[in-house]
Amino acid sequence: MFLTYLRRELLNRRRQTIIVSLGLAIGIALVTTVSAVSNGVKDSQSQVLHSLYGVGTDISITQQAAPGDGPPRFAFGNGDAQQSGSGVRTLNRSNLRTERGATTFDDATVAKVKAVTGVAGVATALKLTNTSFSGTLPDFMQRRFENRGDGNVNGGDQNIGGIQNGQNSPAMGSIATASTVVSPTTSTTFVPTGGADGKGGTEFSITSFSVLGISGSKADVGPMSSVTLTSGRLLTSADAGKYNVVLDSTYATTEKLKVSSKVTIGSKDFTVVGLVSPTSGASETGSNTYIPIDVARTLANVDSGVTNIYVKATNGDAVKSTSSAIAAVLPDATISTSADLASAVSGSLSTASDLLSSFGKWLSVIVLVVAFAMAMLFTMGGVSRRTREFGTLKALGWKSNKIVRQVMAESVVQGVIGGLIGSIIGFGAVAIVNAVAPTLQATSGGFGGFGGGGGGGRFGGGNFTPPDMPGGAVNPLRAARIGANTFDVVLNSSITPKTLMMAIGLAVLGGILAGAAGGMRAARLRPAESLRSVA
Amino acid sequence: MEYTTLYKLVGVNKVFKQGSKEVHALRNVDLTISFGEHISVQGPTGGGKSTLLQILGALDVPSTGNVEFSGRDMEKMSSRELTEMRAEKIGFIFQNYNLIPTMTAQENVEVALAATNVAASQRRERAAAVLAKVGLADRAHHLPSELSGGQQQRVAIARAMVKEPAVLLADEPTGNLDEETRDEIMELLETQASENNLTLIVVTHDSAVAARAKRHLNIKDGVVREV
Repeated sequence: MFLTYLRRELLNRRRQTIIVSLGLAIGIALVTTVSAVSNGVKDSQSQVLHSLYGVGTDISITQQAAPGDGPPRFAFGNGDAQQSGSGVRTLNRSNLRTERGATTFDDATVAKVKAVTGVAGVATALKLTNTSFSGTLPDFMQRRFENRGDGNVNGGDQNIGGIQNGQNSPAMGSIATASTVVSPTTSTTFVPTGGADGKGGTEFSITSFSVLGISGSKADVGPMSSVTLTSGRLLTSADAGKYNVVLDSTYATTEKLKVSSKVTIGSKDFTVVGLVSPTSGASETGSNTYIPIDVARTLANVDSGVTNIYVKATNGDAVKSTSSAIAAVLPDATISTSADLASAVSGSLSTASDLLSSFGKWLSVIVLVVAFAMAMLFTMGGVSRRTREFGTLKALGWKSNKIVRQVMAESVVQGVIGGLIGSIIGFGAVAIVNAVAPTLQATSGGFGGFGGGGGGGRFGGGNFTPPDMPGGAVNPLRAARIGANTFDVVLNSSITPKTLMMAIGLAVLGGILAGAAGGMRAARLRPAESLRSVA
Repeated sequence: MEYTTLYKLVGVNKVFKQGSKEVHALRNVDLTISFGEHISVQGPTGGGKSTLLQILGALDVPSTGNVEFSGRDMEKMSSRELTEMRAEKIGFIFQNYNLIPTMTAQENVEVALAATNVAASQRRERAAAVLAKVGLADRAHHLPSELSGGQQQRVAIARAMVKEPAVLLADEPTGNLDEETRDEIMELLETQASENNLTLIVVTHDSAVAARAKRHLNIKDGVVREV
């Protein structure tokens, strides 16, 4: 009778069943989707972290920034420019230095970290930025002479592509910066008015990319633990002292480089020996280029030491205590655990994460509460409408708990149906989200401005007198991102069995709550009173 | 002497509170009903007919006074025992039939046995047999909405009969039926009652229905009189 009655009620009161089930389904669908997408975002975050710090890295140590370290400067001496015959000087300079603010740890410090209890492995790296200046300047001497003549000279020898004319004609110029942004080369175009009075007539590019000095072999911790070789080979200890470089494959693609290409780093020509891509789903590895650490030190004028220490803890649960132990040994260093690192990641990825963890969570909770409340109200309403039915059953000798059980079962089945429909909707929604495949951007470890803020870049030094460029010639936002690592991660969400179980569980809970609400009302009905509603 | 008393009511009062007002539904009712009696209960609306039926049907308890059913003091019975008593001994028939709208005729009859310990297979057999007795064998798998009023009341009678009760309590059983159907239903009730030696208590406004009974009660302002 129990099952017959249950089946009859669910099938023959289809509207009630559908409304309660759908109400729960919508709540469950939302919870499932939010939870799946939020898992996806979490995965993306860990992908980014893995790319940045290595899969096995539990703790990352950097030295606190030293004050007074200025932006990169290019010092050009008298003989640095190459003069061409058509009235321009060409200047090229590639500069390799540690990232702004970074100072190094010496070997003794690394040894100290190794000695800390709970440290299973240590990897080190020297993080550098290579900045290249390449451009042409007007030859002021020649210009002056020519202006006295016919006053209009065409600048010819352009190695970058800008055309520079006489004093009234516009000249093209570009500042190109490269960071690890998806398209590492972005250009801000401005049109200075060139002239012999020193106002412009100049075009140059500044490119910058990240360089990581690493010690040879591949470790289970550190930046090289999260890369896969796509072509060529990795650096080995045999590369020490050699101008060999391994490139991030995305960077190599955008720069049109391949194995055996030449790359200028710190004014030296390096040979590309290999290309690497991230092991995880992130689009880029932690650095654009990887070179032997001793070469890096020499070129960057760093005597010894490393900027980054990557630590693998013996026990994943002991990360926090190990990090405290390291902090005791290195009181001045910045020690970040993977959890801290996650919070350091900014950009749309972290926005999405914040959005999901706050708005998404609350939205789910609210919708779920509404769905539960609706299910309860509809069930109670259903019980009220069935007062006569339940009164009759009581008159026929049905015990109250038999009726309550019946109401409860109806609600639970509605909950299960709602959970299943909700999960299906959730799967659909997640499939749509994945089909759209939103690309989230994560920025991590950005340093301050490069070449100053809104006032436009001023590159002082040597005999290079900067032209009086219009303010904002260097997009300060772009510039500020140089040195930061920006990753694009395609969001890929999936509903895990755990999420599914949780969804169905919630739906059943909703059903139980609704059934309890309805059942309590049904139980409270006194048989005589329920019969009185007959009239 | 053979024990023949089914109900024995002594000094039964029933008072309802309606807001601040007290409504005296039954006043000092003394009543003895024997096995196999056919009784009609008449009286104006609100006079206490339904209240009396509910007390006889163990759906409600008196405010004061004593009710004995088959020699058992109902006051001393737990609500569980009262429920069991309803399940096994009392058959209800309602003016609106009160069938469960989502269930077929057959299932509606089985519902009455679901409150007892009768096994599922037996429930089906017994329900089918009783439905055949009330002339609805061919309608067993129809929903109430597919049946006429008379047919629905037949199902309700089958539901009341299937447990083989001691008493049938009918509250305006023909109130919603036309005269022809009314007579058919009353005949069915009477045959069923006499064949099974059941006490039949019919509350009605209809004097034609009341006239068919052998004993007539009238309730007015909570006072029961023999007519």
